[in-house]
Amino acid sequence: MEPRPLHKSYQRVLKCDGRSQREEPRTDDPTAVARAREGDLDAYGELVGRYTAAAHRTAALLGAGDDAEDVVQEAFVKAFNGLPSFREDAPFRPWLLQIVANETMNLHRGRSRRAGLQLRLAAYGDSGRTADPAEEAIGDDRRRVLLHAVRQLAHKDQLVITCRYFLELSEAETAQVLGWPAGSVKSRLSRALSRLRERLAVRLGEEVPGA
Amino acid sequence: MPERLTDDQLERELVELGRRLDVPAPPQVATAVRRRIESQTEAGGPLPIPTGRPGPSQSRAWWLSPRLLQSAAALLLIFVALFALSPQVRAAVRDVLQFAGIELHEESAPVRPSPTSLPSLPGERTVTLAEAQAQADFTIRVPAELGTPDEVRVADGEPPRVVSLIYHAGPGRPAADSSGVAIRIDEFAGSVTPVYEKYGVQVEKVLIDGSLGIWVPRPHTLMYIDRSGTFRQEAARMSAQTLIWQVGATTLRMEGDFSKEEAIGIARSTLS
Repeated sequence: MEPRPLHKSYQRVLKCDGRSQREEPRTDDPTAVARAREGDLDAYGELVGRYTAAAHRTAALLGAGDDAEDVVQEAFVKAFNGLPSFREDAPFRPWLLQIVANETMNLHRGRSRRAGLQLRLAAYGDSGRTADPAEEAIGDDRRRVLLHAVRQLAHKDQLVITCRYFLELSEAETAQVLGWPAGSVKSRLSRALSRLRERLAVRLGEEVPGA
Repeated sequence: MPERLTDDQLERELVELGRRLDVPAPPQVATAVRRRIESQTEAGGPLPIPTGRPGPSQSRAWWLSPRLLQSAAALLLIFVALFALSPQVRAAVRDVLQFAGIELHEESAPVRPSPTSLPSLPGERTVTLAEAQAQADFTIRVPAELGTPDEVRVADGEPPRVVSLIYHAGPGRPAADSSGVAIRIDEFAGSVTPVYEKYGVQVEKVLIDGSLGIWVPRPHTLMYIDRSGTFRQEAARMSAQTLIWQVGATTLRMEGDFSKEEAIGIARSTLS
């Protein structure tokens, strides 16, 4: 099953920032971009509201840490200044997230140590998706194992998995956001999944002594 | 019980995992962003350009004036409040003028180009013009006034990030440098994130048939930044005077021992 169909519901979950409670009709991206390009700051404000959560999530997962809010602000200002050279028919979101990703990686430019991705499980099970606590517990354990396996992967593997599954970007969007050639995403992704599968098979097959 | 997960199952579990990751609540940035955009245009534009005029006469959002918007990919001078490679450069923020993928710094370079090695862009290789156009994902502009280049190089990955047109010495051409190159034109897709950074520059704004260009009249340090945002030390070198302009989404950086007028004439022949 392609993860993409989950994307829209995921976006709805992300939108709980108070702004989306208005009943006004939503300006679509190309219209908002065209107006913002003419200097309409209200139109740009719509884009900011629409994509703050995605931008912030991108910055946070890619390791911006305490600078995540600054990174997001900076990215929106840069994106606005870059609008005149932005191709009107291009999708705004991956272009914006590419700027966010670059800003986040630039936080560490010049420092010898490269900051890692910030991939941690939330402290509590919050989705309430299943009523069965036992099932939830099994799920938690399995997620811990899976996350641990992801964090063992090479940095670029983690990057592509973060973009594709944790940020739910398409392959093309992932290539754009990371600034990679399009074909390299597909191949790195399939290798990363193979490596993950191997680790999981080993891990889940381990005998727990005495248990 | 070891199980072999199918790709589908694994992908689904990764998405589920993603939704359980610890990410702090998103901030409210709309007001701050708006304030910053408004204040950068009200400051009259931080163009540190010695035009000889008494003071900035630009009105609010001067770069949005109708004339500049005429060409769809009008040359944009992007004002960066915060773009630094080091804390020292970060402190000189007001001197930074980001320009369609080229950052211009008034202060001197943080790195000294090595005089002993032959500077080159990462992965630079010679190809034909047709190959370069086939490989690049932006349109390569060849100035009609110069004609077909003597050599074409591509650099930094596939598709190549930079395509360079090289013209050797010849009649009607400026004097060549020590490697026999009279004119070098680096072309790349203009972007908000820099491809080159130039240090120790004073710049002049010029008009090329109504389009904006930047003229850097003196030798300066040129540094290349690759896709991952890393300075490539081996590419750092001194650059001769340079004209920078955009045609469509392509930024052109033309370097040679020519006068401003000669350079503008060549650039004009890319605009038709």
